[in-house]
Amino acid sequence: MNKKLMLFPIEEYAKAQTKTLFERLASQVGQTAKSTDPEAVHDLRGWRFAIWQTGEGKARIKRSPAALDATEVLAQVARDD
Amino acid sequence: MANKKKLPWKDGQSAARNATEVLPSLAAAFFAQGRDLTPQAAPDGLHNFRIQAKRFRDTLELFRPCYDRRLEQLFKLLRDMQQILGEMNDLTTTRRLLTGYGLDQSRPHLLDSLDTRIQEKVNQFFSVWKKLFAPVRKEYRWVNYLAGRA
Repeated sequence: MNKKLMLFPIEEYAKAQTKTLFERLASQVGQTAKSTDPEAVHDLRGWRFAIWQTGEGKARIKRSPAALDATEVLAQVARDD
Repeated sequence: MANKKKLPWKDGQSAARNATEVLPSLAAAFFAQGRDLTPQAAPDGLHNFRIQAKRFRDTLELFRPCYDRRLEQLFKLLRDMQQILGEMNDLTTTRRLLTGYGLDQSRPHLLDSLDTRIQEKVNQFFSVWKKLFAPVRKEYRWVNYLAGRA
């Protein structure tokens, strides 16, 4: 709870919060870029990430069960072919 | 379709007052949409609800400074539930992709395993929803909290 901020008129509050959120987003993007970890980007989870991993011939996915499932399915397709 | 109605923020009024006046109705809408879900409606119904849940949580995030630490409990509940819905969405998207490649015809057994996982996620979601969100007292608790009455 931030008693000073919460008493701001909604317009000023929205500006302050938007600024904070953009700064946080910039920081997260920076961290992601430094770590070069595609899994840290939400939209790279799931099948897109699974295809990328399968295409690279790697099996490093551990954090997303759904992505892991997709990898197994696509890997099986590759073996069948 | 997820509810995209514009929220009735009042210019010139404080953030805290806006939050206590607007967020309870947003919470009530979230609980109402969740209550209307049935396992038969999945996955489209759950997909729409996932978007509604995201909008609800994102809006709450903006007003985090207006509430005390109890709000973290609600964030945790929402995060855990969104995780399940997110994984279900990943699986559903994968299925759609494979079907687009014609694998539903050439290798139906591959899609069977995905269907099993999707169903597990649906069951997991409804189990969590029934226990942590569905009881009326849970809704009253959070709606009253967001209204500043608890």
